[in-house]
Amino acid sequence: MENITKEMFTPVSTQDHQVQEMVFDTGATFFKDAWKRFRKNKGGVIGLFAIIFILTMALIGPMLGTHIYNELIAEHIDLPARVPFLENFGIFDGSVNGFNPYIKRGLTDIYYWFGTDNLGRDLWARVWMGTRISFFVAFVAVAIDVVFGITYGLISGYFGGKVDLVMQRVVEVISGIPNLVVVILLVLVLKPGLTSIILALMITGWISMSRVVRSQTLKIKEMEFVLAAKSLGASSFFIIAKEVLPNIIGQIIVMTMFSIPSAIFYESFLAFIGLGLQPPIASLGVLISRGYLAMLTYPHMVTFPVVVLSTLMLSFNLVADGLRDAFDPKMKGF
Amino acid sequence: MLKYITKRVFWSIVTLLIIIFILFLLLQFMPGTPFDDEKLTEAQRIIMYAKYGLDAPFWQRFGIYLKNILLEGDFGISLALQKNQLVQDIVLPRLGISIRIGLQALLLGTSMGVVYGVISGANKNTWVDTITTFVAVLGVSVPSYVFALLLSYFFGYKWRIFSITYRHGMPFWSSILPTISLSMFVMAQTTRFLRTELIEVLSSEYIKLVEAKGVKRIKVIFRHGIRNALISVVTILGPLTVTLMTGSLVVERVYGVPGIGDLLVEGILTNDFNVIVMIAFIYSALYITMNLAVDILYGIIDPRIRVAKGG
Amino acid sequence: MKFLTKYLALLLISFLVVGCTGGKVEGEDLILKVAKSSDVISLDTHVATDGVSFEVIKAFTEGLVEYDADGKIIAGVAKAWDVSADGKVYTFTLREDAFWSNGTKVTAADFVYGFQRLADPAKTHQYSYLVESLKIANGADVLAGTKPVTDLGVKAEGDFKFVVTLDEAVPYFMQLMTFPSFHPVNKAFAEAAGDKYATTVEFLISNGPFVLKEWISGSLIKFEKNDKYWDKAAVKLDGLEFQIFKDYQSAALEFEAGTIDVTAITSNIVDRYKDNAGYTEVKLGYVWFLSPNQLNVTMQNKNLRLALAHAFDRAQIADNLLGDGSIVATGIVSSGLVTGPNGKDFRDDSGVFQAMDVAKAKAFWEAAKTELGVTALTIELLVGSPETDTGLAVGTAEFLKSEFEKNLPGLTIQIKTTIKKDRLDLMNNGNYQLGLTRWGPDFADPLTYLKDLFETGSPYNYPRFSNAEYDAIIASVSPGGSLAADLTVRWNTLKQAEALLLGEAGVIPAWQTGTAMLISTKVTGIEYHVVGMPCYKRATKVK
Repeated sequence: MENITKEMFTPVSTQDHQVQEMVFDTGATFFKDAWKRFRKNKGGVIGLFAIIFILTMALIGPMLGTHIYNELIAEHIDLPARVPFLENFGIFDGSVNGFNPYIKRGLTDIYYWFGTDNLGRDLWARVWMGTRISFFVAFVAVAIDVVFGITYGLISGYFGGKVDLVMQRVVEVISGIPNLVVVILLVLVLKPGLTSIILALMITGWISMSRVVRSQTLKIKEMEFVLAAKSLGASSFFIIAKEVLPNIIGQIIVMTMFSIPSAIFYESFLAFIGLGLQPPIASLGVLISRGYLAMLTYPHMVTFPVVVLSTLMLSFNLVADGLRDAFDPKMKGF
Repeated sequence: MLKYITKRVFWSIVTLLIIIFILFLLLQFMPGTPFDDEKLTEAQRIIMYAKYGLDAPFWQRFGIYLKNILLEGDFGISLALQKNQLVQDIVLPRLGISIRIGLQALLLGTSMGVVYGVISGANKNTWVDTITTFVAVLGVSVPSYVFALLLSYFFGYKWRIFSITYRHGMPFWSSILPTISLSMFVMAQTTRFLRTELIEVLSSEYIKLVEAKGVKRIKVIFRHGIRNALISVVTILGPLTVTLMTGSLVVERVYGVPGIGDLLVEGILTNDFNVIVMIAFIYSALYITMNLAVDILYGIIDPRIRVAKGG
Repeated sequence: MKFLTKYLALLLISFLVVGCTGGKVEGEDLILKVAKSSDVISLDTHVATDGVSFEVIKAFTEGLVEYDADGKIIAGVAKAWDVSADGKVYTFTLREDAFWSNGTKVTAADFVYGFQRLADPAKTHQYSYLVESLKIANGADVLAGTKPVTDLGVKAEGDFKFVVTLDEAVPYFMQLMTFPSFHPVNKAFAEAAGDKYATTVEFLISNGPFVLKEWISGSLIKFEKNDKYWDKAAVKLDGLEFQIFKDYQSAALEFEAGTIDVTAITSNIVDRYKDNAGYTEVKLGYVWFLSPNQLNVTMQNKNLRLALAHAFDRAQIADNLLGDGSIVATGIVSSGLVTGPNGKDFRDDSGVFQAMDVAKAKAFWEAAKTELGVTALTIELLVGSPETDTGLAVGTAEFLKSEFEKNLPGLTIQIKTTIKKDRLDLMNNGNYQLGLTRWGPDFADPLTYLKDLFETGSPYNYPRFSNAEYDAIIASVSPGGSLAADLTVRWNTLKQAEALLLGEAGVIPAWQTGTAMLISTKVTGIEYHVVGMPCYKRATKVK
């Protein structure tokens, strides 16, 4: 056996205490700590930066381009991506399948960073506008989901008994129907368009949020501090708002982050089967479904929206993972 | 246990009936009719409505429909897709294809997921772990149809290794790409789940005890770690089946697989009511049965769960 | 780790083994493989309404007469036919060596039953209206249900003489006899099968060049040469296969790989195959047009309709957007449909209407704005999505929107997409402003467009076009009309009718569809027609 030296001991990390304190202190330190832990998660940070970048591009991207959004130019149809400077290295030089339509059509001074579609529209502007629309659909749908799901889960979990039983039966029935079937039918019934897509996503999206909230509420309402509040005569509303909600806010944020990519996915799927937004409004999903039809001839039409969409969904998941670990290292993976 | 199972089965059937009702109700509000066609007159449409019994009041129609399903297993005839054919004759052969691809994907996905999960969990916080974790996040977040597009572009178009579309004559060969596309998500979920489980199991007291006894780490992982972690993988089979079903809608469309996912989309786009209800019914039944089976199975494997999960 | 390796190896091996047995070796049979983008909807000659179904039906059944490669009428089951001097009685003499695939002879009774079954109002067959437009005696009453189907003017004189009596002489009667709806139906077989008739391969018999062997929903339709067919010597193929590919790109790649002999491709990928030896463009009869709904107060304004009609570049749609052999529609009657007594195609003879003229369009637009008392206007354009066949309806709508808004300042086009069934429902009920729709000709006469679509009260009159002068002209050239007898006068009057319709902008034609096809250079003899289905009977293939 070796000799025990002083160097073998290191001070216990102060973090453990903070975790303990966290349960009782729901103030600013809770988020500060979570943020501290989140910052250590490389994936999460990268994801966050990617989201910020894409969001920024969605807002200012269309203005950075040199072409007008949704302008149809007959002479410019089906042009591949061409970027100044980069073209000198043999990439993004506007050639496809071995020939360069820019040169062939005499458009030597024209640059489309993401190329054009089969109507001669600038894809750079359309991709970023599409991102903006995808974001919009997802954010609105998820925002409504969150509010409804939290309310439902809180009521169901907090009051329990008969109320819970009935409410959980309802959830069971709704979740028994495959989401996509409901979403497609609803979009058709409500007539394809932005509002009906958001509504359809909302109607199916709140379930998982309500589940998480309910199970967390069930756990928290048995805790001493809630019992203490109860015995002091606090109203149900007060307890829910002041004791339960602040303690599950972490999980809610994590769930929200998981919901956004799934909303984006559902919207893009609807577009993929040809239902969805009214043209010429186009989300990433619409761009992908249109580009897919020409994948063999002009792969650029599908590549850019697919890359943006995938990066976006990946980033949200990375951030959600990071947040989950940050808020509650013990919350199980799902 | 028996009482619990009976209760669950009862509620599952009730749930299914409610689902059929909801679908039936939703279909009432579908725009257009199955009979709209460029050369069909209004007068003919009215006669057709009467002929197919679609002009009866809602409750009466629903009653007849339910009676036919429950007593005779008759889901009606197709109104638009394959006119006048029995819906079950159209759906059942396609169901086989969907289930086969689904099972293939489940098998491939879970087995790959187990491998990755173990590698990743056993080598926690190393570069191997980082890579597998990243692959897993990728699998969870990238939509299955994007995988489908990528795979068909490279393996089908560019390198011509696999068939791009499902071919009737070669059911296995041409289902490889759809299977892989579908299995990505399963793989990723299993990996993530198993990793977390394994890490937890490996840090538990009894494993520490075994290790303290001087058993080699690799042996510890296989003898004790995986076995315990695998049990919990059973719980995610339910949600995974749902994902597979949803995924099949998309993937079947990309690869032209004549399964029920593709048929459902076609049915919806042509207002073929009976086809829609039957397929949605199958999906729901599959999902509910799967959840039931998982709960019961898990109850048997781990008695602690039974009480806690309840109702 | 051993366990894992074993497991992986097993998985890999199972993939490889099954994979190898997956590839099928083709026999020596001469089988033509055709890719189709959609499945058959019905095998019943009367229930079917779509192109693929008709194409399949044409392969396993034969009518009284058929088209040859040039679109001329040749003998089918009927070996000879006579028309009475007044053109009202057609007598078909059937060949005695025509058999059904179950061995029974094809007789006149089968045609009588077929015609009656088509007309039966209880059966609601979509094409039953043809009985009326053909003026078959008592046809209208039978359709209305006031007379029994047995009163329909068709009868069998013995086994091999089939007689059709018409109320009026109909110039396009013989052409319509090639249409699948007028094919024979074996009464004994159909009645024995009952509701199941023609729903599956077992409940089906054929009298055409091929017999249907297998129909696997969503993937494959397989034919074999019919040994009982009277003209089997002319059939060179041993079999015919329709494989269903939802995606044209996959079908094109299978074509490249040589596993498919014939496929259509969409404009999206035409660029890739333009130089392929097998690339052909086939002209089809469908004309796509904008239908201005005249139940709508805004669209009742003639100047507005004319402004729209002159404000968009049709060549852009046909050549750039579609580029698959589609052509500019300069009128509503399709090109290649019918040749007149002067030997000219109706389209070439009738002239060019509503050509793009921005200055003219702007003038009409100003007039329309004044009449409507507005300075800006929003019109809703109804489009089907996902629309069958091209999938490009949405793209075209976007182009139209851009053109209209650019050339008619102050006009906003709002595109409304919905599924095809809903689009047709809305258009049928008149709940739309401007709709993008199409019409395929049923017979080779301008009336298939001019009468069926635009006569007051016609059930297919989506634009609700109603013009007394127009109706009078159409009545005069319709069967039994005052000008119907003199073919030259009739021809010129038909041109006059089209000029009137398009001058009123009662319809705004946009393009006539073409299909870009890839046909293997090994294959010859497939016959495509502007009216009617492709014919595979005389097709052949070298190995």
